[in-house]
Amino acid sequence: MYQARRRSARTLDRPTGPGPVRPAPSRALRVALALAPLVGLAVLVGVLLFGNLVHTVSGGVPVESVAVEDVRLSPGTVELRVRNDGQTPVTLSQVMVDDAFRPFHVSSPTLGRLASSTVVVPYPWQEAIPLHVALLTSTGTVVEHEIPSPSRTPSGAPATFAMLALIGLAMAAIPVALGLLWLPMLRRASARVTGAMLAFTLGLLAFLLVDTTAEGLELAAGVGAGLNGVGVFALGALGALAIFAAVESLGSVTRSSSARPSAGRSSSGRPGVRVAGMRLAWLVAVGIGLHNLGEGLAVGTAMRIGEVALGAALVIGFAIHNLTEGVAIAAPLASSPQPPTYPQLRLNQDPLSGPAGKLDPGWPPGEGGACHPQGGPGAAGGRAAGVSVGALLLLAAVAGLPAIPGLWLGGLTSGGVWAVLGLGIAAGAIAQVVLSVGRLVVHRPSPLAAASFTAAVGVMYLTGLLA
Amino acid sequence: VRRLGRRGFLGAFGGAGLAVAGGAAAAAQPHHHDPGMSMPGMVGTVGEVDHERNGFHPDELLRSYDWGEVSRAADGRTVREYHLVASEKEIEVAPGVRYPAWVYNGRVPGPTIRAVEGDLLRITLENRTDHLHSVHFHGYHPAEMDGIPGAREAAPGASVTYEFTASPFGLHLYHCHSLPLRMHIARGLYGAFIVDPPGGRPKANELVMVLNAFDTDFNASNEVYAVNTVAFAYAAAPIQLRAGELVRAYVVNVTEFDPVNSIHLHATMFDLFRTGTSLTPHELTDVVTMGQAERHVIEFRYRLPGQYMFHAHQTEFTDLGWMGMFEVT
Repeated sequence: MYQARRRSARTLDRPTGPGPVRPAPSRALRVALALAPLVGLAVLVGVLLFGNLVHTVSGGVPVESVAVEDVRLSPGTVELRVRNDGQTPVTLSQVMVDDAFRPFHVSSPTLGRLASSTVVVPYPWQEAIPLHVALLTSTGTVVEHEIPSPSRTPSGAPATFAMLALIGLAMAAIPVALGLLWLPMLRRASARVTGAMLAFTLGLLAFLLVDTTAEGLELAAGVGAGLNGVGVFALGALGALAIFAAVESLGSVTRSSSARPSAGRSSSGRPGVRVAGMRLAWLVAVGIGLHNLGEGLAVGTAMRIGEVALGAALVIGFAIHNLTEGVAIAAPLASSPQPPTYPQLRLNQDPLSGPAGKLDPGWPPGEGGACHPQGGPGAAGGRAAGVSVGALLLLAAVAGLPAIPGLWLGGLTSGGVWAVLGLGIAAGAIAQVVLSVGRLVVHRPSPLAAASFTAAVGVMYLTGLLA
Repeated sequence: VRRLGRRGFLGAFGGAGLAVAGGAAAAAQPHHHDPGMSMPGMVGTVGEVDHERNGFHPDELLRSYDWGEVSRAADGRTVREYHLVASEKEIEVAPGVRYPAWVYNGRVPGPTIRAVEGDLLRITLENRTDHLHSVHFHGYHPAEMDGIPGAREAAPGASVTYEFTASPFGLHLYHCHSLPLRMHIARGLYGAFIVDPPGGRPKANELVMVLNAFDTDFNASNEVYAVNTVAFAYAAAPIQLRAGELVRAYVVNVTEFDPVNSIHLHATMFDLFRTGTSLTPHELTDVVTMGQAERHVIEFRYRLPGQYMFHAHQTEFTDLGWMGMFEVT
């Protein structure tokens, strides 16, 4: 048995060894073989598409499908942006508002596949009274759209931009910064407590992941079958997951190669641990930032479609929500200067994170700086230099400010498929951070950590209720 | 039109927490008047229906009668023979909106079959569709002439003949009674059936008004309402009347999916003859509500020239096509 395996292994190593020598294929043949799959595939696709093979199976008459992608309300006018997302051309024949035919104007009544058009309906709509708009096509198909609480669509005037930016600051950036103020308090906590804090962070992020995914998928359902909203969401989420994972690994490679000469010193663990904490804080901040982009998008969209009256409640809810997110960023920073029994050390020993003992200058590069070869007082000094007030403000900005472009995007432009893509990217980014933080937490399971994780999920649920 | 739930819509913008209710309207909405909706007879639809392509004109539906091919029986009785053809036809029920109808003699409603009480009627149905069809008359007739499954239903490509005596006098209707019944009526297989009293009714300007509706997206609720099939047809081209003349309308409700319909005349009152089976009016009113297949004869006069509206007082139907105008000169 052993012999046989040896022999086959050798054969694999030297394929031209014992057997007859095969003549190398000619260049022409190699080229032909390289092209054959492509040509063959093209022919197959052609046969499937034009050979009427698919139609024998599908049968059926194509169904008309029109998606209302955007609604804009101005005094006395309702304007709908519609897209034919079905397989067959659609002609818009009549418009019904609140179960009554209404005169309207449409830029082009017949929509080809994926074509869009604008339907303008003069209608004396009233603030906060629900509007039900239906388009009747030439075949009698009804396309319905509900505006639950109409209000004038905000325009892109500078005042509106500024107002939305203020809302973004109030609901995201400032609360995150306030959450970071708890950092010194978290620092004095024991190893067990900081481990639990990490678990708390993981709980917050895991909840955000579920929440963002649910939001994105619900919005995707409204996009219409033709554009495949769920597919767009998946594209954004999985693409973002891959890209952010690549960015993180790229950072590891760069750091490990530059830090190689000092590998010996890293056995003390401390500098690597501190820097890992900083790096993790950045990751968490970026993930939360992307989530806030999504939250801004959601609030902005809500305001644009006529839920502006809910603005106060929404902003208060998100503000509390974001305070807990500030804590999530602070948790990895708080645990970094502790002795090497701390969860962060595991990051460096984790084979998934690259070779043990790497030292890095902080993340992103240029942040906080130096490696600290000695423990004790040196570590304490590094702490002060590494997590400066400026760095904390930058973290808060990265985590909180993306809410502002989200608000602009949601509040001032049509949502539809781009909003789904945005939420997909947010979900993918959060998923990547969840994987990174989760890797640390699972190494040191404890009842306290489990309780902390669960508490975080509960807190997120409760603050979500307020929004 | 089937409405979306409020929750369903909010759900589309989901977890961000839009479910919290309340919040007062922020800014006052400026009052706006819509100049396009301020003329008598203005309607909400845009465009015009191609009546020629439909193959029938609203005026024809209003004022034409099929008296049948008349002959005399040996006993001196009047014999009337009618020929109905059931076929499939796409019709325009509102400007630009086409409905795949099932029709008698190419029109919806089918021809108004008219006879005098006591006449012998022979109605032949020729079925040129792929489905079973029949003609079921309201009024007295033998069981075997009932036009239901098992009693003179015409197979695809086949013909059947119904024979009975026109009775009692009044306003009746006929419709297909093949199964599923609701589908066969909603698709357009119906018409008015008028049996005149032997001595006739007083001379009048007579109109046939069949109240119907169309479920264009086939979800068991109507999108388009009308009198005589085409939404707002008599608002676009008002019905011409003379001041002071007696007007008699034969009003038949064949609306499916909605349990009741009605007719309301503006600026006048009418004598109501329920089912037209009496020559004495039941009441003087200006609105009468009718269940499915209910029908009444109404008589009225306009004293002064002008434009007068008539419509269903199920106001949703009014907004969706069941509204018209009289132009009195």
